[in-house]
Amino acid sequence: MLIIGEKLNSTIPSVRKALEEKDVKFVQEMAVKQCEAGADYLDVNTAMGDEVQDMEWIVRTVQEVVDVPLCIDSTDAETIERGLKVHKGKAMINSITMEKYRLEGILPLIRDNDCSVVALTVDDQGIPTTVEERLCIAGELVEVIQQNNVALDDIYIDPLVLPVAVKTDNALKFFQSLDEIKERYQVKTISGLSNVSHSLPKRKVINRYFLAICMSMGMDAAIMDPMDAKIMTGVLATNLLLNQDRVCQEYLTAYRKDLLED
Amino acid sequence: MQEKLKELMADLKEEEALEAAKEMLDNGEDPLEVLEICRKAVEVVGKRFEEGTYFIPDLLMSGEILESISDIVKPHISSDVETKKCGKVLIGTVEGDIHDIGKNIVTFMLEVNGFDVMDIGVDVPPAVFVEKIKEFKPQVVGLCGLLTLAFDSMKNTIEALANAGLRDQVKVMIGGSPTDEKVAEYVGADAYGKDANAAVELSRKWTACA
Repeated sequence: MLIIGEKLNSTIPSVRKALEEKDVKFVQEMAVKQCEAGADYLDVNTAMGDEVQDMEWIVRTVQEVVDVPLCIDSTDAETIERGLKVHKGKAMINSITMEKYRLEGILPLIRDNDCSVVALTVDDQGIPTTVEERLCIAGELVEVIQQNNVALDDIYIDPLVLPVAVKTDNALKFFQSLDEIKERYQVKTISGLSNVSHSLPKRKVINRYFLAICMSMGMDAAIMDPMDAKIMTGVLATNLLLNQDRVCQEYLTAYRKDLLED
Repeated sequence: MQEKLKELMADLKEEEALEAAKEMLDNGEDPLEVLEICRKAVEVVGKRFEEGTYFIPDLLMSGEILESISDIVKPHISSDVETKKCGKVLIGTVEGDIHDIGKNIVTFMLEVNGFDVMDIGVDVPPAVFVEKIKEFKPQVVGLCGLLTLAFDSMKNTIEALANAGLRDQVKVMIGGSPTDEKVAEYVGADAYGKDANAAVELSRKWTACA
């Protein structure tokens, strides 16, 4: 499973401040630390600042020190365009939805750039509540993204988990959606971890187990904090249990480096 | 016995609370009084939620207990005694905003306090507020929003009520984390409610329902 580091997000106050002050050291350190901790991609979000300008700056700044591709996190087409323009290698766009205003701006960008795409199952009616509605929007997304020159392998569908505190079958519906989307459309799946535990205490516990179940449903990528040793230990243990870790070497290597936390 | 029921329900002990309610009814207690105790217990639950010791699922649980107690109380209420509804409240999250957790809590607290509530959902355009208000005829309208862009939607919604000649017929309250009294003034609402209990208080005041 791909780990997409979430720590360079302008909704985090310290990151917002670093963007305002163009603090190269802060941003580069945060990038390096996440990669050292095991991030395969780094998400970059500048929505809370001067979004377009800041995106160009952060993409350039981060890529000076790390080799991993970036996940350009914005709902704004101009911001994504600017990020893609300066990005070296194959970027990921996070994200597109079936909402008309977002589709129109972003589709030309995915057509004209070699990139992978995160697609959320939202349309102009909002976030769906049933599995079937999610599958339906996923199908529409896959069709329209494919028509714009993106291979199935480069499409990551996020069926959007809603908090279990509000309705206790929300996570279960999400797991079913993950499973069905892969089966029906042969695309990849992705999720963030924190929404599921919204409004509950000790959220990290719920997030960890949530991730383990998602992984067992074959989820391909997670947007998460790679510097959280407990959740990274969870990823290693889950990979081991799912026979994704050849003769337990990743797990044992991490053990020998004293990286596992129980 | 009354205190016991209130405590059991506030502590979310479903079976024991049901037993206590049954016992009270068997002893000839006024069934409406039993419901009143339950309502008070839900108030305690609401307070604990605000203090952070209870969570949203606890609110849902207290609702389920209330429902099962209501089910055993109902047969004891003679048909001439009507459990009258306090008043009508229409509530929704304004256009451009899809947050619903806070709105759902307010809806729930209003309902357990005897209000007839119509929840028209999230991302509701002004025209839909107008249409539903005409249809439901509430005394109180609640506008919910958690995004700052919701301020203008609230303003537009209240203007739409004025243009439809409905503004004088309803009291409007707003709520959601970025809102406050100043926002209420800016958007032209009658009041801001800081939490679900405040929404209940405002609605009581405006519907003269003590």
